[in-house]
Amino acid sequence: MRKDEYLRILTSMEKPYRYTGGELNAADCSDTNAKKMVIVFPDTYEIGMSHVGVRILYHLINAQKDMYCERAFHPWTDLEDVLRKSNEPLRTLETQTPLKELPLIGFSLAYEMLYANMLNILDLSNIAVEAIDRDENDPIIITGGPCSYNPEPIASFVDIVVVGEAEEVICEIVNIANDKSISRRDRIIAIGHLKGCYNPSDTKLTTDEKSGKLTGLSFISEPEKTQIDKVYGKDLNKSWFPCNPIVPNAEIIHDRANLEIHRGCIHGCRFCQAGYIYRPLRTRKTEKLLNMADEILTSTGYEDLGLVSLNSVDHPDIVNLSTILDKKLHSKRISLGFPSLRLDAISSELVDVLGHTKKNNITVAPEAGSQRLRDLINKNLTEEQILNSIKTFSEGGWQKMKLYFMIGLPGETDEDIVEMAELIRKIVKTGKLGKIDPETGKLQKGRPFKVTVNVSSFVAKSHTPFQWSKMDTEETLKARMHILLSQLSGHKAVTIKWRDFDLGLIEGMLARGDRRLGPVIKKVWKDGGRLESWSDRFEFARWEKALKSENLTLDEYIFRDIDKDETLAWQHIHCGVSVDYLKKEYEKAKDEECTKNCFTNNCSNCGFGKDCPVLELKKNSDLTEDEVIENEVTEEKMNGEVE
Amino acid sequence: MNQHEKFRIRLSYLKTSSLIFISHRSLIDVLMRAIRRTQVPLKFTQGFSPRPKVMFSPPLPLGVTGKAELIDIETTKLIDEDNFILLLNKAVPEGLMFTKATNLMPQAPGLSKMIKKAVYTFTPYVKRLKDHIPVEESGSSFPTTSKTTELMNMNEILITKKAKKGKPPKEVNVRPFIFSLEVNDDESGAKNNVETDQNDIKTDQMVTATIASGDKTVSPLILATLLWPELGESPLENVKITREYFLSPIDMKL
Repeated sequence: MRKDEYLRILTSMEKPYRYTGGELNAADCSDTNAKKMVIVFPDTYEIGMSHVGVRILYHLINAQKDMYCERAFHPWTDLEDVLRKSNEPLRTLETQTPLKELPLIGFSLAYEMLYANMLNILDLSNIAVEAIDRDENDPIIITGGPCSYNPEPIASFVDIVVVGEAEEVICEIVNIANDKSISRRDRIIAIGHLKGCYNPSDTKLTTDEKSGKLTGLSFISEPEKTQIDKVYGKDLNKSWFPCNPIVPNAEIIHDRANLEIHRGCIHGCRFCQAGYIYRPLRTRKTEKLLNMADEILTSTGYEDLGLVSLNSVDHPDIVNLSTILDKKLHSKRISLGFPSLRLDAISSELVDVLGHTKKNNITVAPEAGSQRLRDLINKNLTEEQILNSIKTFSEGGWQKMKLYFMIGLPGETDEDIVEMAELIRKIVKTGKLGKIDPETGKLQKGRPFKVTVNVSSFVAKSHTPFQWSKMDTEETLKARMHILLSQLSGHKAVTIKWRDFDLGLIEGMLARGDRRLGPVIKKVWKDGGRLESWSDRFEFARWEKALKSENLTLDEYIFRDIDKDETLAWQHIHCGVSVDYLKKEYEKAKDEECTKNCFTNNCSNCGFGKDCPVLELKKNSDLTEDEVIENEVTEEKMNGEVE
Repeated sequence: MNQHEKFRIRLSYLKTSSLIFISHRSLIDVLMRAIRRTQVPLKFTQGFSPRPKVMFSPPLPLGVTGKAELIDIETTKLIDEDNFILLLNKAVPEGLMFTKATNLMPQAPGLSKMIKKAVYTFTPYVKRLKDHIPVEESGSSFPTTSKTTELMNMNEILITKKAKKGKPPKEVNVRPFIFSLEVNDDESGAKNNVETDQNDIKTDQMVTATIASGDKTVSPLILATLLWPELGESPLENVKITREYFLSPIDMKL
């Protein structure tokens, strides 16, 4: 099929713009002499284009004089059907080139449900799904993203796994992958020796003969190496961030200009993988951020700017930054958004800024209903803090709010769910207190207040204190959900949403899986499993069947507490946070004991040592040593925990 | 910036190549972002969530090319027409090009009053048509001529329109919405080039249709299936459809 014929078949697709490219600020990839790669987010265009990591790498490579990077996504079923029927390969968006013709394919794996999609894309590109079956002319397949922190389930499908922030090594990888003077095998070995790069084919595993479980792992070409340390940039001000991002022609999930204000998190909620793998906290300077915001908005024309991070309030200069931005943008009718906010540090200045944004987008995540459980997961949030911030929002005029809760957390009991319902009722009651009229200063009572409660199930992830914890069965989760629903039944101001619990179980299995799951993923894909992050396309039975055929059970992977001395499938992958620290945190969780954030309190010694950028940040911040200590005391008082 | 003064400017633009796949709703975002990038002082509506004051020509069906689509925008300052076009075209997605800007007199009627009819052209991709019509040996004799006359001679052309959920489909007579249908045979021998990457798909026949614009109209996609019934439900793989321009109430080209 010729290129123009491929474009013409797109006219019959449901959303042709998923495949055509040509958006504003998309790269010109016509220089045939350039070193090339294609970055693939193995889900649909709308989801992939909302992913900040893909955009960083895409624009970084395209900013290099002698390189270009194209994009590809997983096709929707309509295009896949046509491609399979006509035996045609999937093509890139920029130049409509079949993926196989490029020397390097980088898959961004943000969640486990993308594994089968990746296999499907390789197959649609006539590339062998097993790394061992690929030949000299095949592209080198690399992966990156959060899933790199336990790459074992997909180890047999990939040539290289990049652990950490790929922007630090990607240009070197492109260089090596395009070097046709050495063999493909040598190229892969050379890339495997770069910082943060893991070459699974260069490893030797020892397993327990009886159980098949991992007992050890060594690196063949580098016998002295014991682990893969993640690669990351110590100074975010020097890290690349695109200021001329692609503007999709049709709506995507997060259709806005993004500005990453900092990376990493200081809080350490014990269930949250992002809170550990993106450590340490690194911030961008206000002055730089203001310039970047200007540039991004001028080059895109976006009407929304999102300050992206794991928790915007953690930026030491957030009030100043957002106040200046708000002043600048409000007159241009550009709204400022904070995609994620913690409740404990909401100040009235921030609420003023938020008041200028669209009033329907406040999301609040208490995660657990009882104080006991919030302490156990290290949420560091009291009921008083939650209700105070709800009151502030209500007085600011908000009448709607989204709440995030989790069920199935380690140590959870039925009583915790009853308390969750109680907290939700209190939140609604507080929200109904009313708005304060900005002109008269009077409280306007009798305003309605509604909450949407999103309930998700706990998924135990690698590199968290809960990586040794078992997960609850679907029956337990359903029973807990039933308690919550019956507790809140008839409450008109509360809408409850939850997603399939069985999908969480499979995610949990893959997140802490080992190499034995490779054949399972392959079977699921062959059996039609793809686009399974779309819940209506997910089939639990397909996974059950595949597990059974490999003589494996969910019990072994997720329904048991893992012994702390057991060899973990991912223990050779290091995110910088020490295993000892995670163990300590797991013990503290059992004692329902909190660990305070390491910015306004003392360093918690999670593993970055004296070089930790947070220590530097503390030195430069306005907080004096006295204030730091004082803060600690008042917070403890609030929690009623003064020693 | 004076929000009380009001200036109106009419923009003409092309919607081609990959941009033909964008819905009207998405196109509005694309256009508004292009206008925002020029930093012209837009006039906004009053109220809780102010919106820029703009008016668009009727939506193009997905997959149809537009050669002279229109937008009216209101600004708080008089805009230099030529400079505005330059600024607009400095950064646009593939397939979007602004061709003309005209400042409007205060009393000039808006787009909804001005646009009454639209002229469309239908250009079959020859190679593909051959695959679908096995009997036809010579590439030039499509059953277009007979169909155009046939359709124009009918008093009623009944189309079944899908109705909303739970209601039976409705039959609509679309004949009153079709004002003219003509076959433009290529007598000069110079074949029409259908724009493609390779520029090698040529055709020697083209149908030009003038149809009503607005709520009461017939979709050009339906018209294409009436002209080439053998193409079935998705004619766009085989026929390039273009909205060439709009006509005013006195049949002036807009």
